[in-house]
Amino acid sequence: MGVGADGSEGPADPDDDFRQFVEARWTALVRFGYLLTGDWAAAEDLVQVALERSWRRWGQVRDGRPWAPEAYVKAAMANQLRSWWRARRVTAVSLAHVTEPPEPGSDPGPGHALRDSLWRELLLLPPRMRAVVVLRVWEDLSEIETARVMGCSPGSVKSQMSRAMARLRRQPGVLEAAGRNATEVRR
Amino acid sequence: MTHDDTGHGDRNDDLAVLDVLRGVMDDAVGDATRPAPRWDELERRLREARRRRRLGDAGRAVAIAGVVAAAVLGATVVVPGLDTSPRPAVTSPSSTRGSLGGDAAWLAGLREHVAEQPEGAPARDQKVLFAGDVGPYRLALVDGAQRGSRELGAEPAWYLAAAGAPPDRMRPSRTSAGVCGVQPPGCAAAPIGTGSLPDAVSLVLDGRSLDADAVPGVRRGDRAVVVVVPRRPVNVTLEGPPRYAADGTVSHPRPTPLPESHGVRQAVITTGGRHRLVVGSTPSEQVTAEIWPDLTDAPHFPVEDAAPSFNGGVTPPRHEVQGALLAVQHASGLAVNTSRRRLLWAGAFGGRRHGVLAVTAPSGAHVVGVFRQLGAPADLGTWLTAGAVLPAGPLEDVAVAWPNPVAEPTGEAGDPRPSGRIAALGPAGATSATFVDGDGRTLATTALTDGFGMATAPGTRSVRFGDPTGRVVTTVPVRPLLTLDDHDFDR
Repeated sequence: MGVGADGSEGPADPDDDFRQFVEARWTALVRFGYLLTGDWAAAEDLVQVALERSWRRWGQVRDGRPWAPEAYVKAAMANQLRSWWRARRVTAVSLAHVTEPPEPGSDPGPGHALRDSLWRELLLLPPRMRAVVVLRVWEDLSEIETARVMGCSPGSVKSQMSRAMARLRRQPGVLEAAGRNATEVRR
Repeated sequence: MTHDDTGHGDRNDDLAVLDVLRGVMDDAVGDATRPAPRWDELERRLREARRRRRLGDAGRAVAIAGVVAAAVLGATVVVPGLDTSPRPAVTSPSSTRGSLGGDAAWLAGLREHVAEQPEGAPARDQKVLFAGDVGPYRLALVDGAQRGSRELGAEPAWYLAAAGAPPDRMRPSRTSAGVCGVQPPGCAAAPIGTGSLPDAVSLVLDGRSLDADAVPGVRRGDRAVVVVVPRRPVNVTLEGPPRYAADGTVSHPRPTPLPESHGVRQAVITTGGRHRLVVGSTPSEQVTAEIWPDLTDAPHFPVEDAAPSFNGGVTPPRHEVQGALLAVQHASGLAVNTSRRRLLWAGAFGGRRHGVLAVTAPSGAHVVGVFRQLGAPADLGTWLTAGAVLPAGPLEDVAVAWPNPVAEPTGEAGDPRPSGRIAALGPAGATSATFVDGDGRTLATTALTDGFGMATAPGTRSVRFGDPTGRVVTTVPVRPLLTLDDHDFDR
């Protein structure tokens, strides 16, 4: 028995170790991929490609060189996403192009509109910027940790995050709703 | 929303937005468990992917090894399609291509500058693959710029500044995504970056990617720059935007080889519209990138005079019109400043939002896009378009009819299923629509509201629009749906 990818005791065979890692972390990785792509099928494809890349180096990766295993796979996903995005010939178009007047009594409320607007804008962010936002907000990584995953400088992470926030704040309704929340924060 | 002078208001607002965004992400992933595939199936897929990658790596290794060997032996490397002057290997520190390739002092300065950046790799570990001036930019492509980037399989990094800049002014590209394909509103923000193509590393700076802060004096949307650094012999061509004749026919200029300079293919594009960059010698290996010098992101896309709805109906908010028009503009391939845009009609039926928009070419021909929502009203997904190119004429005469399909499940694109419902938008003055089959038989008739009507009439081949007196104003064929994925409806 050796030490597994998660630090616990596990099989010494890299393939077995890799298999255990995949089975344990698949859902988390796919969720991360979904936040990057907005599409479950694309998320699973992204995970698979990243796993293939990681598998080749699993002997190093499971030892945490140069990354902890999950961070390595997520970094590979973020890099792969950029490649896909560049080669992509098609993208989804925002649905909010034409507005249907709300039916009486069907208004889902400002909170729903805000969330819809933010989700939509998140998916419209450039992939690298989107990855930074997901890593910082969803994964709760620090700027330095995010920079390591993204292969860029902490300053670049800060810049990306700042630009993303500027875009998110521009969304109709976001400022008002955020302002309400901010007021509560200030209290 | 209030902002105090200290900026704490902004920070609090950001915290509030982030808080909501975290909730948005929670909602998005929900409780999805997404079970892992069976291990044997996943292992089979991974082994297959590994095999394909190895085959690809082997091909590249042979190509690179050949160049390295030639350089070591002092032989002349001849790259078909490029000039035949001696060219060093891309893997050697002394092999930098581009107009600065021979400027050892500048290159050394750049490596030192990159090494001084946070997480920068030592200068000796970096390889400057390309450095030179292209149009208003000074660009450099550095492999291994950051510590650990090679282990991660990260691509080389681009640095840029204004043409003629010293090394210490070079800035890393702030975001990455250079060679992008069709990106309607989503391309919106494709900034600067690299593209790992099968045979080359390339950089495209266009209206969507321009880093205005980096190069003062270059305005967003006034030009594009393309740099392709080939790894091995490869064809690189550039095709200009399509041309729409007044009769509605479309032609495409012949693709021309991209000029080569200092071992790279590069171009500065100063005309608007969609350009296609094709890298690769055979269809199976070709990679296409689309370049729009003048197509900026949605917030900057001009929609003056595009609304209100020409034929009545709902007039959506400006930013929504902007997004849809951007998509049709993109599908048309037309230059922004030589075409006009207009929302013809917008409304909702069948529980879905719809819109009809037109981009008018300099000849007067119209590229019409019909947008239809997939999924529930509040969901994000894909719109379909019924694309059509109509001959020149006033917007009052524009009339289109299209099959209104049954939507796929929420959030999923795909081939829509036919429903037998036909939607029709008539010309000015039309008050009724008659749905006619291939033998001229009337299948249904409906009154138009704001010029729009729909009927369930399977087998409809054309729609006749009539005025209040019963006179036929015009007859149009039912045009099949094209999805935005089939954006090439100009072909």
